[in-house]
Amino acid sequence: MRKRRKWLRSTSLIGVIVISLVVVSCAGDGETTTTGDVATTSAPSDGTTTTAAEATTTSGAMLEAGPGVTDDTITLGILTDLTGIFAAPGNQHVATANLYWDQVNEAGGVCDRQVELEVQDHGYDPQRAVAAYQAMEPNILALHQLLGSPVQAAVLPEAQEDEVAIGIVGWSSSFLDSESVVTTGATYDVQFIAGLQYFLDEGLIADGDTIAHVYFGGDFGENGLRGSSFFAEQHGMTIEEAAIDPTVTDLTAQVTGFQNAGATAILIGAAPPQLTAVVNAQVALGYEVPILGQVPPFVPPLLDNPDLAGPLVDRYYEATPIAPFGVDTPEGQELAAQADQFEDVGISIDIPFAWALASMWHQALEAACDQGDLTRAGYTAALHSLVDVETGVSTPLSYNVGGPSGTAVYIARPNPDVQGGLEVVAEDVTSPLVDEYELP
Amino acid sequence: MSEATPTSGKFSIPAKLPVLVGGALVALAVPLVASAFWLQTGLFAMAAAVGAIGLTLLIGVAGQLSLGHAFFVAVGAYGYSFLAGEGGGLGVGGGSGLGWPPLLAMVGGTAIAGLAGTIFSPIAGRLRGIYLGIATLGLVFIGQHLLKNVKPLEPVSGGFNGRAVPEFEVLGFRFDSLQRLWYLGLVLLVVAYWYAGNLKRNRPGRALEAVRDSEIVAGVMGVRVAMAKAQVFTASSVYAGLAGAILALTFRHIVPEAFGFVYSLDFLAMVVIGGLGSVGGAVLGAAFVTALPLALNQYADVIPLVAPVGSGGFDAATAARVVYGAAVVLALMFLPDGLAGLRRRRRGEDNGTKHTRSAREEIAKAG
Repeated sequence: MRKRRKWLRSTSLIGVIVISLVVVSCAGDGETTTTGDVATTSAPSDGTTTTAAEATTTSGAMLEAGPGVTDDTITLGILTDLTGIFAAPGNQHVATANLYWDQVNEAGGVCDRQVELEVQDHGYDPQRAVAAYQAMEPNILALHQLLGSPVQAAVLPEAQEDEVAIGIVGWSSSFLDSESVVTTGATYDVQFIAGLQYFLDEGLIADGDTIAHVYFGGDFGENGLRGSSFFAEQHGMTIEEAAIDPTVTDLTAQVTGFQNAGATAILIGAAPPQLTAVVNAQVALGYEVPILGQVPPFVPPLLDNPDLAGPLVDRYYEATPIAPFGVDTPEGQELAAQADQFEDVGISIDIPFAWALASMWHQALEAACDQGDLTRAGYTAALHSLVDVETGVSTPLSYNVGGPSGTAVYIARPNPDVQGGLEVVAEDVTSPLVDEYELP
Repeated sequence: MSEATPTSGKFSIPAKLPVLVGGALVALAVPLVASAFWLQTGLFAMAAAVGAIGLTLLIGVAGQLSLGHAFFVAVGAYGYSFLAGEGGGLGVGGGSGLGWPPLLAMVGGTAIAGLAGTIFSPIAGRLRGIYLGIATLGLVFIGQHLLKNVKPLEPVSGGFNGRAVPEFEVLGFRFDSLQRLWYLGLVLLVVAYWYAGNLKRNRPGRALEAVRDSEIVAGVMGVRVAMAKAQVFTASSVYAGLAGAILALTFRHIVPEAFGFVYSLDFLAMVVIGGLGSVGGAVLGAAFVTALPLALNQYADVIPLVAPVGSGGFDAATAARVVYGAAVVLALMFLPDGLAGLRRRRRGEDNGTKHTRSAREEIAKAG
């Protein structure tokens, strides 16, 4: 009897397994069907997506459509960090993208289609990112936003194979050798070359000087160091380097070293805590040289601290391909007028960054639509045909070249009285050296 | 542990057979129906399962706490990639290689991980409980630093942006799709499971359990305590190395971030949730810890009352994390013997629980 009961239990267990498998596979199918996808079908046997169906536009012209494109929608993917260490900028980027595409859709969409965003969180974990990418890949035309260097590196090989274009949230030049990768303007290295040129032209530094550079070991910091080292070499300058970890928040020793070495400017390729540490050390040492930063180190809340606000306003400069929030262009003003939309996520330069990225993708979609080719390959080709795209909140972007999509930067300075805390003091700043600079 | 008792073994084999056959058929059929997401998730879970089996031998059977498992997984992953790699890769990151045949490279990468474990084992022999945990934790941070920042290592590591993983191939048969990798993962998991079961049931396993319960008693009974501890550390690292190779093949491009402290903690969660010392439990725990957050993340938008993503409110991504956290807490509260205990409870068998409990107490004492 006991034996028999056991057998019954085991068979019921098999039943449970089989049923759950069926449920799971149905769930898997549901994923592709719920998007209302008629132009793409997912072939379950090999997991790849086949393009089918030629859709027609209202104008009657034939349009070739690929994954993520149906008769009435275009779906773009966003794979970002909403719960991990970059949750703050991640949420800002998603909020801005939602706002941008809502407005586009209200105005009739792109190519007679509504643009939909499929957003997934990866929490800065490569494993989750790769799995989430696999899940969204059959449904999307392209990956609108991908945030986080390690995640980008992990997802890129798959995306390249699937011909999915990727909008990189960040400016590392290490990914530029890939056709699929899209950056927004001057990369970290080029930003520093242009920024240092500005310092030189303004007389803040001179040939033969020593310049200090604090940076994170890793992709972002080292990419910037490459630019500053190149510039220094060309101008007979010496770089006093300090590689640090993100956990280091006291830089007194390093800054004392810079002072002893007679550095006339400090470059910073790190995060807000390190900018705070540099300024604090400077104040303690009475060492008042200008600081050149990029987008990541500066966030508006730094200006709420009275001990930091004064010195930052005095001597912080930011070299950025993105115009700060509230820049005096029609698009910049349009965005600033909607500041209340960003109450929950906060306002920083990431808002115009996401806006510029969306605007650029919008124009690429229009270009692909004009070509009658909304397949992935067609979209990537359209992207790379774009020259001097104006987004209104960034430097002009060109994708017909192999290098970064821009070589100029804005120079912005802190101002506690404006939203977003930054104000443009010079635009279209670039360096003749950029042409000689070799990308990694 | 129930497998170890002769009475249940005699009767349970015919009863288990249909389950085994059914399970095997289901596992074999999955690639025919599942989407890429589920295959990818399944492969991550298989890699984690192999690693968790190694860790449950170390923590559950031998009572040695390790928080450095992710380090040995990384050694296996980078070891395989370097040995099999030809240099250059898709897109970013370089990392060259020695161009070994992939099968040999997998064995080699696993062996290097085992060697790393052996080298570390004298330290493991001297430390106990939470002290050993902290010492192994140091390994994870050293590993991260080596992989990200050390220039001479870059041919192996590819630096911060990681390196490409060469495709697996046996006798000209290429494992170039997730479907094929699924079967490879399955074979390796079955072998790992079978070997660990044998190890645990036989003389070495009993020696390790004796060491766990009392080193002095074990010594008196003729177990060479230091040797046994070194051996289990090596064995666990070999498992981690194999897990690393499967993980690398699933990723296709590996980055240091994938092998951080959080991954080590995940492994600890797997063996605790699965039931300390149970090989089957480790596999279930690995599936729970690996697949649940990924699946929740995918389907979190069905949870009622969540805010739209990007609104800065309580959105689906946050909800997925909360649900996962709650599931872990509930599993530990209501299944004190882990998922393996659930299986035993269903069968109405008690034997083995005592052992598991003593292992848990060991950890509790340590932690």
